Amino acid sequence: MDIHPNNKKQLELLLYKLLNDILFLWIFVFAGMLALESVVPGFFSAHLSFTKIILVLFAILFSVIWLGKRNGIIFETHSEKNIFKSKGMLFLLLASLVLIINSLRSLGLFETAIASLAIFIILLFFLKTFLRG
Amino acid sequence: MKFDLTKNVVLKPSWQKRYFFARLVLLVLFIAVGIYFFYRVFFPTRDFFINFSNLKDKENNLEINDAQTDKIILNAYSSEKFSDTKVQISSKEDFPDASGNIVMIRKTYQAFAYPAAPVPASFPEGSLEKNNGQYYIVSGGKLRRFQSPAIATALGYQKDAFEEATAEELRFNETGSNIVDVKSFSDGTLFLIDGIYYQMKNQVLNPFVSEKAYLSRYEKNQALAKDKGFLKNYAVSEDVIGFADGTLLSFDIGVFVVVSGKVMPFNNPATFLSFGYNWDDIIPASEEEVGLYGRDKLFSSDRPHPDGTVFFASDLGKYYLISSGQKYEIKGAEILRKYLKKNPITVQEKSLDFQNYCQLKKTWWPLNSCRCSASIKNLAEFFGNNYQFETQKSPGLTLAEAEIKFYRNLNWENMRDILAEIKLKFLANYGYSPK
Repeated sequence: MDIHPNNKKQLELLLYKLLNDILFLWIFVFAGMLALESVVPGFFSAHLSFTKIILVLFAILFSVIWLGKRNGIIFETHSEKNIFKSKGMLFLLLASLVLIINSLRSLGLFETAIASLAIFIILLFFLKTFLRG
Repeated sequence: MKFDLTKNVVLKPSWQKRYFFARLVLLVLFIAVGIYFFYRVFFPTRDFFINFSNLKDKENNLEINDAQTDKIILNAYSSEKFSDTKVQISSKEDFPDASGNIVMIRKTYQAFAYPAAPVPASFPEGSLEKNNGQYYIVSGGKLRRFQSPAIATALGYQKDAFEEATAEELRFNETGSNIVDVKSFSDGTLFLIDGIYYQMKNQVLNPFVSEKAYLSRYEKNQALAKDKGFLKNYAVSEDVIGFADGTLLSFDIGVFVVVSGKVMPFNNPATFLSFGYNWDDIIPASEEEVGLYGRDKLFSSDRPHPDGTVFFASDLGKYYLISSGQKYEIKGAEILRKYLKKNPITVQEKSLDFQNYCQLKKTWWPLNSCRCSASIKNLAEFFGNNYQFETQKSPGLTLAEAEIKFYRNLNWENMRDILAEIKLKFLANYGYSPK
């Protein structure tokens, strides 16, 4: 069955929008599972595979990129706004911090120092990249 | 829906409507899958099956043990806790069915259910013991007494290398001839020569792969220190002695257990824990130490604990040693010390009692099948990963298939149990283990 080019374009845009929603939900699931795994290790992960979750995440991500490129959609960077002033970003940063501290608690002093330094450098790099954007 | 991640992509009004409904479906689907996932986590089910016509069928995950003439035991392995079970046994066409048969259920560890040996555990090879001023060595499985303490001293033994044992403990080894010769060493004797440990076997010196391997079996002071020249007196075997059976090793990112001269990797942490093992008992090994062994298949839940495993029955305070498919009671603190190189596996003696049962009743479908169900909630308190279902072999009964289903009923009581379990795991994760 032939689809009218206009409808095809609309269908692809609809798929693109839906895939973005799926990506958001999938990241939400992934983050939720990571948080659960860090507080009750092994309890939930025994019933699912993190490898599969990550693979599906990448599959969705690549589909979004592919559909976006195909339809000439430019990624919106929100560069005009300071994303670090948004409540969502502050919440994400805080949640990440809690998860990082939680994962460091079982390490020794030396390992904690090295890991903290590495995290600090990576965060600094991200900040620089975002601010430059 | 206000929340739009792709505001820059604008659809035509008719397609916007479709998008709205598609999002709604997606959201409902997401919530439904979420609810289903948590339902499966909180109220898990497990199915086990065996096809008796083809016991090598890869789909069989239920084991049968019909070695005994009067009964059949079906083994299912899971470390999860369930509230109920359903058993279905189908007979071959034109053969009598199993209706009326009683199915008895227990949960324990496979190796702990081994038959009890008629004798208690005895001292291992090479043990040095003393009692009432007499000195002994275990050689070739027999207890040999040094004719006099002077002979032991002349052979190079330090008196503190001998551990005090009770007369009763010494009786558990067969008695061998006395040692009168000060020039030759008995089999089982341990040596430390130039930093390498050896054990005498048939008058040949067998080296240990490493000190760690030696310490998985013996203590440092048991070995006689000799200089390099001593090696000229005896042939040195190429067969290297590795870690004791049942030793837990780690190498790279894997954790292994030593089983009859091979190392078997655990497939995941849950399997490791399902055997009652303790993470603190893992010995980090080198490539050479692990490379000494051939690698075997995965050490999965359906394997029994290997030889050398010590069980501690917490309800009776008894210890047992697993060896060659038998369970030896360890009587005496000194013998226990010899075998307890790592934490014992805690179990309950009561787990060997068949606590639950149900009676098979004929069903209309599948044909020639019988079914029964039983509550197994009380089995949750027992340690073990082996659910055993025992039924009698009635005359003419020829089995075709058996199916066992475990599940946790959806009710508030089970929900409360699972929440309590999560709470315990959460507290344990932060170092607050319940007393």
